[in-house]
Amino acid sequence: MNKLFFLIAVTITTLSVQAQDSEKLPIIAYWSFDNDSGNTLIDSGPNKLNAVLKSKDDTQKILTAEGMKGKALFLEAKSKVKYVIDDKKNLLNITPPYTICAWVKKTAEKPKSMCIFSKKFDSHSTGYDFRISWNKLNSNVGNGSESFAVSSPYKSVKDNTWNHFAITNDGEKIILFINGETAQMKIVPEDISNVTPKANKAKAVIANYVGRPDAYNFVGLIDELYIIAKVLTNDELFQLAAP
Amino acid sequence: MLKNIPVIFLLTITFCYNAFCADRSINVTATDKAPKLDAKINDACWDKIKWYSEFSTLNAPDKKPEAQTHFKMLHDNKFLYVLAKLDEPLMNKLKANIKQRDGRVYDDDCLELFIDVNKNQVSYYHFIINSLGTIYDAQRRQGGHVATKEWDIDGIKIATEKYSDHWVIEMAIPLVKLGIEPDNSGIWGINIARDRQSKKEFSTFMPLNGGFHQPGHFGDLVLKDADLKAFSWEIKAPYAIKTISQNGKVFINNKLYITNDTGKFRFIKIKTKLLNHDESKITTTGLPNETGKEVQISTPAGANGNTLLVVNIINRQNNNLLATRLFPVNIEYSPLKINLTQPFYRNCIFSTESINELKGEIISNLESLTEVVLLIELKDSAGETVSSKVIKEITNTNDFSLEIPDLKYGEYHLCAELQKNNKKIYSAKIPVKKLPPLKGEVRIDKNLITLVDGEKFLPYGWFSYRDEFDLAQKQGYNIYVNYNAYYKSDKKLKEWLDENVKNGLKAIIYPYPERKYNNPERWQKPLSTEEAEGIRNFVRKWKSHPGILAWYMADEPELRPALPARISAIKKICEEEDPYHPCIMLNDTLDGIHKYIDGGDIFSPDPYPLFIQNKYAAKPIEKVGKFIEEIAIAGKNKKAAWITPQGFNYGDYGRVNNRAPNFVELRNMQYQAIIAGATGFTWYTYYRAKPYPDLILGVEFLGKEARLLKNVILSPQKRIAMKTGDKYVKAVYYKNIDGADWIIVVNNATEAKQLELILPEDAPSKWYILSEKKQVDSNGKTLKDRLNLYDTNIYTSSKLLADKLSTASTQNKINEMKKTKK
Repeated sequence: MNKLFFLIAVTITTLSVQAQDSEKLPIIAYWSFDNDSGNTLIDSGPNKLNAVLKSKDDTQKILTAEGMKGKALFLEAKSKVKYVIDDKKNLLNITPPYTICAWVKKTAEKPKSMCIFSKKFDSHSTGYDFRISWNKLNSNVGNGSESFAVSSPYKSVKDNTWNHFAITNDGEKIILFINGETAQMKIVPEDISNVTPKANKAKAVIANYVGRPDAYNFVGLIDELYIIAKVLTNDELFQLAAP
Repeated sequence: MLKNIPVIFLLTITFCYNAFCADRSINVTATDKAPKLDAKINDACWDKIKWYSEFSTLNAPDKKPEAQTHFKMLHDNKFLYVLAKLDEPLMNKLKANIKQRDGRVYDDDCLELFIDVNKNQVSYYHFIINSLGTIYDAQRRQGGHVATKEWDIDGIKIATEKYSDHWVIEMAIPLVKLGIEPDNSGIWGINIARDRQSKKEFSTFMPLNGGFHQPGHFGDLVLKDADLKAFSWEIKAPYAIKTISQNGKVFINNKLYITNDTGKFRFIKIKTKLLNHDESKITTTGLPNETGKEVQISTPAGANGNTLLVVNIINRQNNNLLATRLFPVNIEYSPLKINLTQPFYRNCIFSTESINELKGEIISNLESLTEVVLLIELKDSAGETVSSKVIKEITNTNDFSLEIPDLKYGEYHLCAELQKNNKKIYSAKIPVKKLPPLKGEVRIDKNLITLVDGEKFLPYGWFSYRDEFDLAQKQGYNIYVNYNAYYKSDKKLKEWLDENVKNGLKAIIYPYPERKYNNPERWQKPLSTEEAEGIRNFVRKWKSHPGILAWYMADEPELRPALPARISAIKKICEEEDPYHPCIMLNDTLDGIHKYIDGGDIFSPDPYPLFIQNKYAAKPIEKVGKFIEEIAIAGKNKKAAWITPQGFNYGDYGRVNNRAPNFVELRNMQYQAIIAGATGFTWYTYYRAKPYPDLILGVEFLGKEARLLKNVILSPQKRIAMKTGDKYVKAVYYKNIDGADWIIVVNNATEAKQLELILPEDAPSKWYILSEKKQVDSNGKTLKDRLNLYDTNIYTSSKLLADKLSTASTQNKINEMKKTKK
């Protein structure tokens, strides 16, 4: 009985600590990949935006491996799966200010462009995504009339290496961070009216994009994926990322 | 033959020595529980740990000291713990006076530790502790030749205690402060030594002759079960260094390349500051494991001069120090600076050179140069412009050339002015002189060789002939370094200088009218008005005497230690009064060359290797070449390099078991210096050399050989470095001098080496070894040969020149003379 009380007390304390952390940041979604269930990636944030595995292979299961904090989502080259988020309230039609960040380890050369997170049809001028393209961190935003892309410098992303990536958007500028440092910053040019992603009906997808599963599938590991309704500073990103 | 050294005997000694040293490894166990640092031996942590002991006496490895020393070691991956028990039958005579950190702790009874964590024999740490717990700590670089005592190991913990018949030291050395490089094997170089002052007894754990600072003879310290991964950071030396001004403050900007090999991703803070400067800056970054990254650093700077950049890598999560390094840097800031390259020397146009263009660079360290133009003018003493030009698109470094007419003798000023919207922002000016002729004029040309009356001059001679002029002349020497001119009256000095001239010698003397100018206590003070006047008058009086070659600025000033500003002030007076004779500086440390670099036009250091009876050089003989190389670095290729090689027996100065260098070793030192770029030779010291046939006959031969090779030696700009594949073997190639190609090779190892040199294109296939009546054929692409220990080979494609002299003949004469002396 004493042991049970102890266990309950520890659990409540732990959950309390987590609740306090969540309250500090306006988290829209947070996938830690530590507590996934069946074919569903569990969103540990307040909105329960769980993601379901979609694959041509019925026997495909969620794969995990050792990540930067606990377990990470593991994507094989041959599987070409996607994790489609159940977002009935369209909470992922986000507007600035926001931050999207994750620990990422790309392990294959192809495809040349891989989505970490996407809520965008490739050719449409709506939505947004978070990618690695030609070994550059990449953010695409469609504001309804045009797309605005920001990329980190050439070869700033190395294969087979854990890196912490982040994109922040305050409505006037988009900043890309690699390992807590600014890798690229683009201020909205005069000929682009804004960088607010236009809401769309595209499914939000982890590790792929809403279209063909073999076009931009991610190959490697993703851990601690966050979508936060705030532009985090360098220090806040570090605090969130620190293993 | 020359190479007839008792090699087998020496090799036997080496073998036995190495076997003995293998038994002197120290195994350091890992502990979970750190010892309580209270200088008590009964701490349970130490119970099962082996005592190491059996120190031997320095310079007498077979002799045990009267008082023995014992020690134990432990580690916990954070600290290296040392417990030392120093037996002392005369505790009442224990010397313990020094209380200041980095003071002369070695003058007290003390324990010395030498730790080479990367086992590269290039840099190590030196700790000295006395019975009061006072510490002297220094980083030693460049094989131990350079000591940085400004390096302090923060976080070291020391406890000491005295007992009735011994005293104890217990200490903890933080591992993070030891500059552990990636892939560290956990096997370090170590020695422990002891200074016992009551009996002047010096003992050492590793048997040694000569001195304690011999990283090549450190034993192995083996850290058992060590996990040093957390310290595995590689930080390359700073590069792309610039000193700039920003918002009225000076910064040193540079790049660092940092590699994380700790096994984990690390978020880090990089904190940099200059030594003894409070301000620092922090840069943050994240580095994956096995990843390197270039980081741009900006550090607040203080006064101009040489200093050290401290780089600390700190764990951003918990603020723990992960790695620390020190790098020498030079702060040199001015908003506008003019550097003349033509004329090259002293901003003077000598009568023996024809110049119709001034050339150089103008450096601006201003933050912004937008819409700024540069006006360059040469003005005469009345302020009239003789020549001018405007450079419109300027950058931080601006090369220029300014045509000039045939100038009249006199003083001019080269002026540079930055203008924006026709208004002056900054200006700078330097004097430029057009000199009238003087017989005996001495200058340094852009190839850093000495010219007398416009002709190439190879300075070769000794310190202190004690006025045996005829002997010096007979042996072919042409320079005389003399300490004692200031003891002579004007009449005697003139007679002495006249005698030099009569015997074909030129003198190098202090510019001091009296001995008191050279008193130790004066060296530490700025030059007084009275002293300046005295020096000025002396130089003015003697500058026109044809017997003067140069002014001797200082002898080993770092030992006094002399104030660099004092020496610079003396040099300035000599330059102003007498532009016709250069100033010579002699240093005996690498650091000293840097510190006093503004004090001379010519640097002639004395890197004595010390030579041990029946053994080799006590210090690595390759230090000779290193000192010459350092002159080019410190002087930025603007200072001439000479060498003051060891031509005496240190035993004559009281050092036990020392001997004079032999002919092979003398030749090694001379040619090491030439390979590194030396163009003058002032052997130390003639009157001490006389009892030794090797020195008297050997150096005489080397002088003849140098004169035969004069055009080779005086072409340092034509040296082509050759890769030998062996760090102990140095080689350079010269093309087409005196109608031949030349290769000079020196083996600095204490063993024979097989040589395979890759020859440049169109190299001859037949080579003759100078002075040795030997021929070596190559296939035109590589040259193969064998060099004995310390040996020198000079290969030439000219048989005629190769056969002019004979080392074998000289060695025979040396051997004969030795027999007659017995």
